[in-house]
Amino acid sequence: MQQRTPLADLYARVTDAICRSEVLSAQGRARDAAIAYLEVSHLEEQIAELLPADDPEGALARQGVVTAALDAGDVTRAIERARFYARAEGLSPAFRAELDALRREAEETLRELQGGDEPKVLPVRFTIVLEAA
Amino acid sequence: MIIDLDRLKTRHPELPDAIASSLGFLAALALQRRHRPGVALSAEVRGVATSHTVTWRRVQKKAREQVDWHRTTEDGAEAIALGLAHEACQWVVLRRLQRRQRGDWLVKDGSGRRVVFEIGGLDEGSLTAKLKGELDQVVQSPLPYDRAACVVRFADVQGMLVEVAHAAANASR
Repeated sequence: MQQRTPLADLYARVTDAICRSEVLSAQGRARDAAIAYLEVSHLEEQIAELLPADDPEGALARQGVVTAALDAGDVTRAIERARFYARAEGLSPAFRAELDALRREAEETLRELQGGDEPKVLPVRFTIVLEAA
Repeated sequence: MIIDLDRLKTRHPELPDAIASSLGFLAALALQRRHRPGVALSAEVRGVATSHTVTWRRVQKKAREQVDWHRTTEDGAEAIALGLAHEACQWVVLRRLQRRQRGDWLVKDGSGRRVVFEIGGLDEGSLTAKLKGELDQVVQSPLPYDRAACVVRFADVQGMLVEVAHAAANASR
């Protein structure tokens, strides 16, 4: 029997996890779907470690890490991974644009979760007292 | 040319067992609304009229009540389209794509050429309109590969498979 390559093994596992997350999502089982999407994100990350960013399927996996993190509701992971992968050398302009769009979406979601665009800065009154030498 | 829905895994060895079984089962459910095993599938594949026989193990009526109609149609179409793509184009599944990756499957042919493959299913209605919707989506893929879309209509067991070269898809992005 032919030995399966690590990439083929990861492709089979990510296929299984994606299909599972779609079914759970369609069934309205949000919590279970989020867990499955997070598994997808981690499997895509393992694929990204095997394939360079200038390989189309390596770029696809990097995009996949971020989209699955977003679908899992893990916006901080989505932002961090999108920033990290966008710095990768050899990434095609099309995938760089995809990652940038996903990062902006994740940042917008994070802002909404934190309660809007307003910076949480409160004015504080203070007095400087200069003492004569 | 026989497409056996219970043997999808033999055509697509990289498809996990559970997924192959599930897709085949859902296709059988969708077909059994009106048809019996051995029904003829007429499909236009890359502009050429083809004819196939679709077989499956009959599914208990009770199972039909437990599965959502929409999911049966959409996922059932995937089994038939993957069977057709292998039969007519010798494509095999490499991996599933995520919802936001603008395609359902990444497949390859005998020479290793990759194709981003989008699939749609409908019970009744316009095959060409459905196909256009699927093509509009798959041409947006950022992958520098050729694209294809396949749609299956269950009422009269018709299918269409169209391929778009990467350069042409890129021009329409």
